[in-house]
Amino acid sequence: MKKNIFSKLFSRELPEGPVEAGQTLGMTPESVLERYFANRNAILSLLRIYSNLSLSDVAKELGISDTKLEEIEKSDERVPFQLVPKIAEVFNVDLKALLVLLGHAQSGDRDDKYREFSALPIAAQYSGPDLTKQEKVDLEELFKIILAEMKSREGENEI
Amino acid sequence: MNTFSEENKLRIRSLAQELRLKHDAMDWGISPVDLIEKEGLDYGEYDLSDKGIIEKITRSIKKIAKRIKAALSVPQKVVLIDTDLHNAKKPFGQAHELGHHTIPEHRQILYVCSESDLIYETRLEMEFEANVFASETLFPTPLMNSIYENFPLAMETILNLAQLAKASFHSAALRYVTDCDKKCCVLFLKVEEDDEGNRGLKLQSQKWSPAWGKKYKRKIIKDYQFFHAKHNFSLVAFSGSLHTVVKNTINVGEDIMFQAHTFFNGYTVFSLLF
Repeated sequence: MKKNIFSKLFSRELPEGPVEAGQTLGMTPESVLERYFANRNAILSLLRIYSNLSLSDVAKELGISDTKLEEIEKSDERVPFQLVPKIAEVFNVDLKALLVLLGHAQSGDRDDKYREFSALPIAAQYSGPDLTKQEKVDLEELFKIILAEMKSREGENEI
Repeated sequence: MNTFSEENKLRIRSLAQELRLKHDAMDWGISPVDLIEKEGLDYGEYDLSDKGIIEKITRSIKKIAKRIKAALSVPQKVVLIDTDLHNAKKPFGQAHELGHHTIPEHRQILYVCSESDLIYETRLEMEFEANVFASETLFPTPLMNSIYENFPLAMETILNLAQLAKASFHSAALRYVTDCDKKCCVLFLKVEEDDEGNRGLKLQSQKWSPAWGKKYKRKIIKDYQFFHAKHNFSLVAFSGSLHTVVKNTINVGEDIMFQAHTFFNGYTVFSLLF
């Protein structure tokens, strides 16, 4: 499970060797992971260690204070969504996976295709309750149909 | 970063102002479609009754289609608006989608996932920011300041504002109250029937100025409060005073009297209390 998370984040397998920081404490990579996954944002300190960056380096990149970053890393509160793309950039990890890990997006479930991320990302203003899984698929299909129709009209006009 | 903080609102407003400045669109009545196209996005209005579309959509797609009014695809660089959306509401919808494209973190997130892939709270925060952006695009702060300075607190000022911005009365009323330094509140009401079938007005939403919020720390008018047909609010809707501003004094049930300027546009009853 944790290997999958890392595969998604780094697009590669979890390095075989022990985590440097954990090793100095005599910990195995697994126990380091266990410890760091104790709260939602612990992944951030883990990514920082893996990237060999200091708290100050990362805080500076994110435009926040060291204290604020430390507070975020130790907290279980959701990281402000505004920071997530920048975090993905700093650690060079997959934004989609980070959104899931930090609790901003629903996690994909391989057994349920509708819970995977939309293939065609759309921001839509809609009325009424949240979209169901099927409605998300339908929305994507609708968008494709409208786009295709618009393009075919453009083609006709050009002729 | 608190999404709903004044600091963040200012940040979003600056992004809208920078965009207007970049495209030399500093006056009232700018066209969001112009800005969309100048930003390199395609813009289209779709008609669901169009033969080319209706023939291809299934019943279940039709169901979702009815709920969608505007959409943006960041990867495809396109903004789509339902042609049936009321003309007055289109500019806000267009500017809202432009906001998702302009706010850097929205664009990055919406490049990899749909808004519907996000959790409710995150979506709500993004919608809030896109609304702040849209409001600033249509009603820029520097121009709003001159409205506050030169025009009285009155329903006519809001009507004038909607005309200047070529935007809906609803969005103008919300924007006016948001930064007004006087104590005022705008109510949005709909004609409905109560449980016994009596017609009246039901409160849909309300927005008050910071000064109003400071004085009355709780809601004076309850959510979904119903005003029977003989109430001053209701009289406007039921007395044939369509598109006329009715001015009177009202008591909303807390023994506090307010000046009320009420206006019915045929869909919604707007009341400005102060």
